[in-house]
Amino acid sequence: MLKVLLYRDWLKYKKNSISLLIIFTMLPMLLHLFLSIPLSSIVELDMRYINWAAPGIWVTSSGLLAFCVSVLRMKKIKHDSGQLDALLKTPLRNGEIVFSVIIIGTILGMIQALISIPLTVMLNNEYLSIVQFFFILLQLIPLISFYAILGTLLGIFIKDGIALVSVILLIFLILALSIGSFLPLENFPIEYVDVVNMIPLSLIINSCQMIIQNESILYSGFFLTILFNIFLLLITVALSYKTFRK
Amino acid sequence: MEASITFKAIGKTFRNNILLSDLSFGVEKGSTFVLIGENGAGKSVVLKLLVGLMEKDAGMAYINGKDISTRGDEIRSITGYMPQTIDLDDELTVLENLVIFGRLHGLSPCEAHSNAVDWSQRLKFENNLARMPEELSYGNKRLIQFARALVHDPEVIILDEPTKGLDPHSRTKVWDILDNLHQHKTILFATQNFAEAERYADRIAILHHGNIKMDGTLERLIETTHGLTRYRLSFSEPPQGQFMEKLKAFPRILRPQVKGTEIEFYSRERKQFFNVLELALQYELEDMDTSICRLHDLFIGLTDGGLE
Repeated sequence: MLKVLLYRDWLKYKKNSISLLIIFTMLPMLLHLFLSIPLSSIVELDMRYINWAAPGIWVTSSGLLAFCVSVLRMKKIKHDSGQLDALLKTPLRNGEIVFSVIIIGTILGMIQALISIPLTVMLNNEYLSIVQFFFILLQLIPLISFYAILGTLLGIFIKDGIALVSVILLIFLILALSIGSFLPLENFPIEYVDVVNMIPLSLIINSCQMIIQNESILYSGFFLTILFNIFLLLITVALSYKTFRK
Repeated sequence: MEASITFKAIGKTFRNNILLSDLSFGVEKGSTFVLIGENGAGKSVVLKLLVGLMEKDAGMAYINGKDISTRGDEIRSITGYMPQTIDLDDELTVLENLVIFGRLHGLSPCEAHSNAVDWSQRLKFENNLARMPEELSYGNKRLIQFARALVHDPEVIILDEPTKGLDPHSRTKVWDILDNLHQHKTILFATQNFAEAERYADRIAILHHGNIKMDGTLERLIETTHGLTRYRLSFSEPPQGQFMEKLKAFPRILRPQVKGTEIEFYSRERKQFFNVLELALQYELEDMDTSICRLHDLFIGLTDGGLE
């Protein structure tokens, strides 16, 4: 059943492949142009800023895309088109509907990362080995899944378009500016830094920055995010059982 | 006969409104059962409960012996449901809509495709298969929804106002198909079209405020009126109050009502009608009509204070 739902989404996204491709390429390029380049003349680091900020572009573009795809998909299914009732009258389980949205969000987020990484590497004139590329992708998987699950969870509740835009904006601000993606955490108050350093997502960004600097990788963020994802997934599935059938 | 659908003391409230209260009925396998009722009577709620779009608060319900609470997945795979509202996937073509829903009900890709094409030919919308639902008229969308409910060849067909918004040709097509299917399938539908209910249902249930007021075959329901007849008298001008007062004074004249230049009333005794007719002739009577009580009259009587 899940396979059929994924095939259904494939049919939909296939029709919009050109616009998706434009988003996949424009999003990292715009982040590079409007955040990395201007900030490179302000932020001073031991290493070249635009190289340091590359993981910020990967995380922000792929996380934001995964979040937007999931929240929009779930909102459309649950609130906009009567699709939920159409799906619920088939032998599908609520969990399968939730999983399909999360999987699609994660897959598109991964495609975004697959495009963002080489694109940023090219724009920055830097070198990334296949092994580094693989480890960065590995680190990004739980982060992208986290945003896909969060988007699905919020999509169950967000009915209003203005609320949706506000939430997307908030997610962008958090991803881009508050967890050390584009602004080094040294610039924030020490109390804030202590808190952010405990957030697994921040550890993943830190880890990606270490990979491009050829330093040893931290796996704590990776595993903690996976654990948190499982917890969030359980909540999302439980809420779907609570809210889908009236 | 074996029961296909069983409802036992079902109760459902939603936001402090009682939608169904202690509702019980059964539908025999291979029969057509219709629910009629005014808006908000609970018809759609019954259908939604059966396909799992809503959950009951109390009671038990079974389809083909399977409990809808515990074996919902199995039930939905043998059930075809057509809702009252359009819920086609507007990002998929008509063919994709039908194929996906066939596959979600367990058909293989080939089976789903061939069934979808077959139904499009039977309902004569094969030229619309490659189009998006938003390009189609309301009636065409309803036909596609009808095909979607049947694409997986369900054992139990549940339809919510199946002919709403359809032109007479399409309506005939839909009923011809249901007529052919009804020997092998159990069909449950809700409607406000009494002519269709009388013509196509084996059993009829009149739903009022979440409970069944009366159910049975059409003949049995009509029998309960004990020969009650509806009379209609047409005058050249709206009848005067004096005439109505005299009419109301007649014994065993039921529900006299003025409708423009017409007066309508019910009676079981022809002699009483002759007495009224004699009076009416003094008031520029133009025409008259009598008819045996039908479902419509019974429904009005049951849901609007009774005919007596």
